[in-house]
Amino acid sequence: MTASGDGYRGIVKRRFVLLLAALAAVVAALMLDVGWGPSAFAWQDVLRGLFDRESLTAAQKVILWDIRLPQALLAVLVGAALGLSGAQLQTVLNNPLASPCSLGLTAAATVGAALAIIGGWHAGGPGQHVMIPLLSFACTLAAAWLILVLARLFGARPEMVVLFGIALFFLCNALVALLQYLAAADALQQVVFWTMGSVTRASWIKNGILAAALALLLPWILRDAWRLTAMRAGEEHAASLGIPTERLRLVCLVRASLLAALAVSFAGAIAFIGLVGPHLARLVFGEDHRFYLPGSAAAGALVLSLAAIASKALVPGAVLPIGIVTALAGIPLLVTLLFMQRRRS
Amino acid sequence: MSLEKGLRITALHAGYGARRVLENIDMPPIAPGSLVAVLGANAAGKPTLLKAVAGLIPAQARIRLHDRELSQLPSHERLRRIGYLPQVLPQPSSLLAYELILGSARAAGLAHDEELEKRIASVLCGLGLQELALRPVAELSGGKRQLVGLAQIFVRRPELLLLDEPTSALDLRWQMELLASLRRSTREHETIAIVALHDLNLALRHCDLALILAEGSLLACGPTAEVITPEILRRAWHIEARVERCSLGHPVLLIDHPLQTDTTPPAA
Repeated sequence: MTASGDGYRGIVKRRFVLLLAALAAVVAALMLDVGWGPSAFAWQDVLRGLFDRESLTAAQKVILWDIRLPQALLAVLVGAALGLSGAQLQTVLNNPLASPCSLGLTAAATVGAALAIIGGWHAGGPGQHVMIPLLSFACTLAAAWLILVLARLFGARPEMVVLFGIALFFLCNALVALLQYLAAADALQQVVFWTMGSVTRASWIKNGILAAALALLLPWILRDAWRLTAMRAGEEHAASLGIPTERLRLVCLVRASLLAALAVSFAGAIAFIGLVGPHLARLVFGEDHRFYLPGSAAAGALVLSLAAIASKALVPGAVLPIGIVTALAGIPLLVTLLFMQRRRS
Repeated sequence: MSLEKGLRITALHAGYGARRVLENIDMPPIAPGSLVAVLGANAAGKPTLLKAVAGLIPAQARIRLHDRELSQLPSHERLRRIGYLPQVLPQPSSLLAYELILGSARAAGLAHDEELEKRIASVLCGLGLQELALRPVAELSGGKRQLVGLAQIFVRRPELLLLDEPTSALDLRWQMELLASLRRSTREHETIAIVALHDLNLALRHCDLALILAEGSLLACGPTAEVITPEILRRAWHIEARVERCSLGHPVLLIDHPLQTDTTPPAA
């Protein structure tokens, strides 16, 4: 036993408790989100209905099990996926501004969704729930693949990946603008709505896919926790430990892209969660990636779940697209977090 | 010396892409327990030599450490036996100094047990970092960050240390302390430390051997006080200088004046 070792063990214990508290906060936000809505639905009925579905009326069953619960769960899962995606990107690109959004992945998803909508697959029926997510997922993966190929060709250095991401962001925005210019009025309206991001497209299948992806990817990501922690000393220091930094960066890009692609293809373009989640986690848990990575997922889930509640609470009787809320709240939140980090250091 | 123990580097060629920096470096065998200085003017190839031996840049060479041919090992295998400290300091982050050292040890494959904690505590104590162990790296001065970088390496106890300007951010006291401590530990543990330095007085005072590089070639190699001669100083650094003994008997470099070269700036 050593004094520094004992002190560090105390810090680790405190972080573990904080992580449990963050998970409890996510569950609390989820419950609040489930209980909050424009229809008159008493809290005790909601709680009872969660455990005893048959005790609800037919209308209550639809509201709770087909609308509120899938939507609230999608907010939590999308937030966790974006937070986890952004946390990996910020570490391996050594850039606190890296996120699925700033690398152009969200913009690529929008291209896919716009193609599906303008191609006529949005107008009701199963196509709406299959083709839009499918094409936006395919476009996000294609964008990630393009970044990976270029990064491999040019040596996968962080600044190159960020530059390719920025170029891709502008390219995708130009493509979306072109598609919007060519689109009919109703399709244009759909594309614009999609870009605002929303959890109203939730379904149990989408939640199942996203939950499975998180359950598979999180343990894989956590296996690299020490190597990612060591990366925070800088590229050369990590390489000197025998960490294959370029390969680790490419693997993290693949995992981050998969998470971001699933999240945005199901919920649309949601900004700032992939950026704010990791910053919030860094402030609370530090940068030991055993805590920072799950902490980023929890922070992303919490922020998006709270945004989902706000989207229902801000305008009585109406549900705002969640992307508008995250964008509006994201900027002051990010500035506050950066200010707090600066004050701390 | 026996070929079974020590470091042997022969026919080393290294560079960056098409640009060759080091040509045909042949070093005499380096015995276990040696502290070796790599010296030379700017752009002589000091970091390139260390990176090439560490396997961090492509190089052609035969590098034998004790009974193993390092040049045939993949980079990550080679780096298990080598502790390489880059010239750049660990970057500021909100990681605590302790967890950066622990994280590096874990990333390098060491188990987190009581032995590792004792090692970390001992290294922190040796480098005067015990009071700063639970402070974020971003809050440490440049010198302390350099010591944290060194601690990351010492904790792993590698057989061969390659340290690129490990004293660049340290004050005078810690420059002396570090070199003295390196000399002690290399002898005690029979390891080898190769240290790139700009301060020739530190090399004269602490290092057993010196390798002097000039324009990508090995100009001289041998016991430090024997190879740092006025002739070598003229050829490698373009200065007129000499080594004399101070009143305490330590060798000290005295610089008389720089030599006129094609690149010497005109007098004001």
